[in-house]
Amino acid sequence: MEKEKPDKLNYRLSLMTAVLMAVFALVISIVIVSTLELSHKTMVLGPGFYPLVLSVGMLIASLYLVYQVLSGKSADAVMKKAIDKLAVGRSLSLFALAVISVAAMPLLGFLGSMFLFSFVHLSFLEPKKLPLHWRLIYSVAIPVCTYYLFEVLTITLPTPFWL
Amino acid sequence: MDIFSNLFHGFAGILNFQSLFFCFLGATLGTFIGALPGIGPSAGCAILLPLAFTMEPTIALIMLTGIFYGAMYGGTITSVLLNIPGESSSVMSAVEGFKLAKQGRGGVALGIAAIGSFVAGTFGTIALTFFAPYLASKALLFGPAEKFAVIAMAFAFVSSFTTGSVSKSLVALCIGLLAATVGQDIIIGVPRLTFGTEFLMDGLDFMPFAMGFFALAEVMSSMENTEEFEEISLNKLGRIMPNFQELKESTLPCARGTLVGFICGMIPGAGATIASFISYGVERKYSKHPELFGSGSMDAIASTESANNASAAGHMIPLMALAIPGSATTAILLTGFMMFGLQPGPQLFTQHPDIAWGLIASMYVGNVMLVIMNIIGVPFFVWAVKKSMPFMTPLVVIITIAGVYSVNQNVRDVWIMLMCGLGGYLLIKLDYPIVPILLGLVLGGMAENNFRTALRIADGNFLVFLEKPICATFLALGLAMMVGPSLLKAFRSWKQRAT
Repeated sequence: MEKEKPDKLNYRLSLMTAVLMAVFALVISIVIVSTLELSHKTMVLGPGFYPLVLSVGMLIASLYLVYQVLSGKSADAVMKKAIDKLAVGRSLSLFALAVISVAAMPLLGFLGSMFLFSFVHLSFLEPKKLPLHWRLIYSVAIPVCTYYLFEVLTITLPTPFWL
Repeated sequence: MDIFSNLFHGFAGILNFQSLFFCFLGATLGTFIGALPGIGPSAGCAILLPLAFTMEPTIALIMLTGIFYGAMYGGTITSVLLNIPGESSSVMSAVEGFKLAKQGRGGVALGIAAIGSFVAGTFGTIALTFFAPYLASKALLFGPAEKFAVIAMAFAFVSSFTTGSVSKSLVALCIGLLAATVGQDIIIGVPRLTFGTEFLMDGLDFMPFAMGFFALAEVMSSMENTEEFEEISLNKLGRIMPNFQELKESTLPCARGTLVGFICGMIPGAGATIASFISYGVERKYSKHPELFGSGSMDAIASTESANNASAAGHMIPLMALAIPGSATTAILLTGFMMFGLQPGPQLFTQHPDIAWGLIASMYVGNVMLVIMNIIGVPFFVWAVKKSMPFMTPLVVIITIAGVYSVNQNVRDVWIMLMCGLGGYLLIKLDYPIVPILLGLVLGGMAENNFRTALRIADGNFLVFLEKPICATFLALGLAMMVGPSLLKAFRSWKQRAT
């Protein structure tokens, strides 16, 4: 369960994100100015003008956001819900599992890696544990059905490199 | 008269087994997605977009649109019976509906919601039938400056409506717009922000972005919610069909909800959720029984459910007439149109009338299917939602991975999708809205093209955007939407200090 009141961590994270956004916008602005023309003889505006307007706009908006967080004048500038580390950990574990499964795709193919993904997810990340036979059935059925659905649509999903 | 003959041809084009089957499939999937917590219609459409690409354009668009408006019906079922709103637009239905279900009137609440949704959806579709071609014909007169102003206004509206902080919305919008500039410049052909890489030359592909930001990020966010839900037994549901008196009492709330929903739907950014909240407030004021609000009000159910359905039809007007999506789902629908080489807007009605009118006709048919489905199919949807909840996360992630891979048959797209999913999840946690990013990415190219063409025609005179009355009006409306609330707040606090 998430706590309702924002804490110091929320404040720090909001500030850090706003600063990062500002830095990103600044870097993009520098890249645009140094690599692209801002005006053009026949087309009036060069290819860099429009992206520069956007990156400068983003810079101004993120700097204003930094000001709003620091001044504490706008409650919306700071993230509202407090971080529940356990819940975030569960979401990030799902992401890590997806990354590992996709990385394993050349070795295990779509079917093998997605079986791995489903089974690990249903065994360790799903709050309501299903009996082992159901976990196995779902873990086989979901990738197989998906694979054949795409086969019907004449799209072959990745197979292991050794096959 | 022309409209009637076009609509007749639209019906003639879709009254075949294949079209009706995919309309039914879209409506059923939409109801299911709407009922299922954690996955919204935007995620549903994004996941099915690669599959839709293998179909015939009209059929694919009928199915995707069916998911969009079907989801508005489905949200009520789990709200009333399980107290979990499948959609954010069903939050108020959960507040009132679950209490009605506890009183043994859950069935009637679902019946009223289904009938109200049908009336509102059909009214919205009738308005779409007459208003969209009219607006499209007017939009034919728009030059590049006006087109840019309309898009800028849509951006401003979406930025002000999507979150509490306009600065965060603007940052998100700029991310999307900047992402749209990556690749070869559309006018001069120079590579921009490609950092010397070849794969960025064609620009960023929309599909991995949409599926990452909407499907994966949404699933990751829903992983945090492990709350147990209280459940009303289907045996306690009671009768579903309301009697004449109940129908009569729901007429005015339904009409008010429909009107509020339709207006909100036409305004970019103000979608079904805002419509349902506003209609709840309006109904509380005008209802004959305001004392029942909070303890189970049938008027509230009729009004909010009509509002979110009317808003779905309202959303289709700017999309089909001006190519302006007002929400994440309509942005994905716009991508669906573009994927098939179709450009919504005036050209859609003149160059592809079969598709435009077929789609509108399918919405009439889909609404009829949905009202029947939602009256007789409640036990099935409740059963399906409960059974599928344990394996829904792996199913969505696996279909998303397969879908992204299938577009270019390239694992690199899957990696981009995963990164976008992580980025989207972090942004959601930090209260940054995702919708402006997507809208920026989808409409960015169009906005830039019109902006630069308008300036080229005007020899670089930036006043071109203010000299034309239509253009200036659109921009002024956008600006008012962005800064108006802050100015009003500042004025109020100044007035308070002065007194």
